[in-house]
Amino acid sequence: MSEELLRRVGEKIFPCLGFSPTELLWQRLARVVQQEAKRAGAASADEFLQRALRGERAVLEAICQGLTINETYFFREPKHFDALRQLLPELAALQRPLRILSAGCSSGEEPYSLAMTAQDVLGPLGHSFEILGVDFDAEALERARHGCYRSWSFRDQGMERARAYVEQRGELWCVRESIRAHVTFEQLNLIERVPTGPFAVIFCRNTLMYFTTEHRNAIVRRFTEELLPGGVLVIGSAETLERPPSELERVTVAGAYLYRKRSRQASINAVTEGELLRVLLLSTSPVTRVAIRQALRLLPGVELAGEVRSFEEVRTRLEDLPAVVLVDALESESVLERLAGVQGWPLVVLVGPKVLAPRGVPAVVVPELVPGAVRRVAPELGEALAAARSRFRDRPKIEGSAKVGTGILRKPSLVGSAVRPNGRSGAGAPADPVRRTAERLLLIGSSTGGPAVVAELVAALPLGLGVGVLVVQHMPPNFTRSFAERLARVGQYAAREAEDGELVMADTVLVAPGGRNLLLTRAGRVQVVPPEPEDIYVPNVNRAFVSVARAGWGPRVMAVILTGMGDDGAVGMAELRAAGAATLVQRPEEAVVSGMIEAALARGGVQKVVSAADIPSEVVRWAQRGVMVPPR
Amino acid sequence: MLKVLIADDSKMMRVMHVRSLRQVGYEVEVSEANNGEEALAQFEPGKFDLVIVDWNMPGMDGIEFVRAAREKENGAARRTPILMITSQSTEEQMLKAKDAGVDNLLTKPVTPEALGAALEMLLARA
Repeated sequence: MSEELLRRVGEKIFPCLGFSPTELLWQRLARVVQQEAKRAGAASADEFLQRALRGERAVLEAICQGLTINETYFFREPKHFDALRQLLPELAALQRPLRILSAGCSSGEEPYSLAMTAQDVLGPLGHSFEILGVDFDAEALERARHGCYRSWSFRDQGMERARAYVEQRGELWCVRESIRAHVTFEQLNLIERVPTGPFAVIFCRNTLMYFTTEHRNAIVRRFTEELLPGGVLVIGSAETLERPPSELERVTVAGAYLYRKRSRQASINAVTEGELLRVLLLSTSPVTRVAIRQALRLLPGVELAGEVRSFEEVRTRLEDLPAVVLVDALESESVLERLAGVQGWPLVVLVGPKVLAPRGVPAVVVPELVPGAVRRVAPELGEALAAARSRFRDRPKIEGSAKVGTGILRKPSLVGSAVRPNGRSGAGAPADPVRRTAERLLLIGSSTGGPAVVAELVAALPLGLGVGVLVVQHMPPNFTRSFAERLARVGQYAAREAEDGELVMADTVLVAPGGRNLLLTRAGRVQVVPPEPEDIYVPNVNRAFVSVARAGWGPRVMAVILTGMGDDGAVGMAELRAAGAATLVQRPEEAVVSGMIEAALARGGVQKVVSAADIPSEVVRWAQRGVMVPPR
Repeated sequence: MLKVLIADDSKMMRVMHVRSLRQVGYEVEVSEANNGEEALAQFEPGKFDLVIVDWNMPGMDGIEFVRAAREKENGAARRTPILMITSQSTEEQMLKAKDAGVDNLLTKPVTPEALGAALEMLLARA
């Protein structure tokens, strides 16, 4: 190949692409020309180059396309995904749904790998996430949307890490719908536009190196703006940023170098004490609602728990859900007149310029109603919300009052509280010296979206039923311990991670440890064993349910399947049903993901479909009468 | 019964591969080679269900073996799946392996799970 021709073609093409002509790029160009010339059936590479110089469109396009297609594969540079895995639980506190950008995503291997990693970590926690993949090569995006790849795309560690999330179609391996549902693609040129954030994570690997220094710096600046405080930017491990913006800090996580945006809102984090601050938005305007939603996304530790249109709806929602009410008075000031009647609520009002909020109501003023204005007051908004919550908490609580103000308090449990069985010094409650073994078992199988539902269920269970609870929640190792601790805090039952060989006691919740399976013996002792190779979901619900059925516990068991992806539990539930157990599933319409419930229903082992809120009363009736109330 | 040709200059690695294959559930009939030449002498189109080859071997290395094997195979109805094991995982090296005719590549250390997933993907074509 003539070096002279190659040089002239490069000089013609690189500036339009915004690429800086590095040695690497010249090598790549030579390879692309050779490959494309062969594919196009050109007489020689030189002839192909001459056609390019004459301005033949098809030839130029073929070369541009070849240059911009990144040679990519699943879980390329696995360290970056290990780092992400480690950071995700922490990042999840910043945003829900957690948003990840894959910039220069080419044919989709990277955004799908990101979605798989997020699913591994966040799925079992019930935390939602979205991945956006962008690239300027329309043809590559077409392949990305198709989502099917040859096995070479899974080289190195790709196949091992992606295996659970792909299925075979002929010679191809296609990304499962459960993963694809989290990923969207968009065609754009990063030089012209960086997608609107905020994002908790931006991956832009082996892409920046092809841009000129000015373009590269501009793109990184834009990335930084679209990143949440505390969010991370990941670039290729062979790349460095010459002059990173001052907000970016270089950090090492799990052996990988990445950039983290400094957190400016540390004060809000401190106020929310790591606990989610839930916000219920009352707004009648679709336009301002979108702006407020975006502003709330910028606030770490703040979650938009719901959106309603009227004060009556707020009233109903607050009954079940403690939240700070954010009243949008930006467009319709008339709502302000009604505030006098709801002084008992923790609330913050968002008002436009020249509007006076009623006295005594915390208000945040948006000085000018222009695009982006609400986002700019996000820090003040965050502080006002946190302040409203802590003010409300410190106030003396009026039990049983019919006022809506009680909505933020925990509902009293169904049956009057007996004794704390775990010996913790509750308010004057003496420790129960005699612990009984469980006469009956409540088995709970749960996955995506489950932890919150399980916590509410356990919180509402009264003591003294003689029931021991086994929870099998799909979760990675290290998470089940804190989950068990959370269960111990919310309710009256003792709760902990199950230990191999321990007896199941009444008034106690045992959580299957992450990465392990939980089984039961005839004598009512739990066994904690390593998972079988074929167990896609761990801890495995089927293994637990089947072992309980086969240990002869059937008639003394109530089994429940809650929200979750996949089909784990269906087989076990059918077997338990056949062994005489009472079997329930949560209403699929109210589940975050209904896959596991649908699978159980399809398998035919389900006796009754109930709302999660009704499960505790079902448990009480079953435990007291030995049977379930037949479905109405 | 899976007929496998394993080419690796380390006896320990060959034994480990066999153990891993059994651990992930394959019943195997193994032919072993110390280097590329030995492997090529045994290689015939259609004779093996799978070839596992190390990149770095004294004499004829893995890449040279794969090129020669693919040439021997030229015109055969079906390509034998070849899995290459390597400690080198740069982009250039991976592309070099692909150009030579490697179907898939695993970077050391190779766990039984990784080997299992790789084989599932390779052998599914057959």
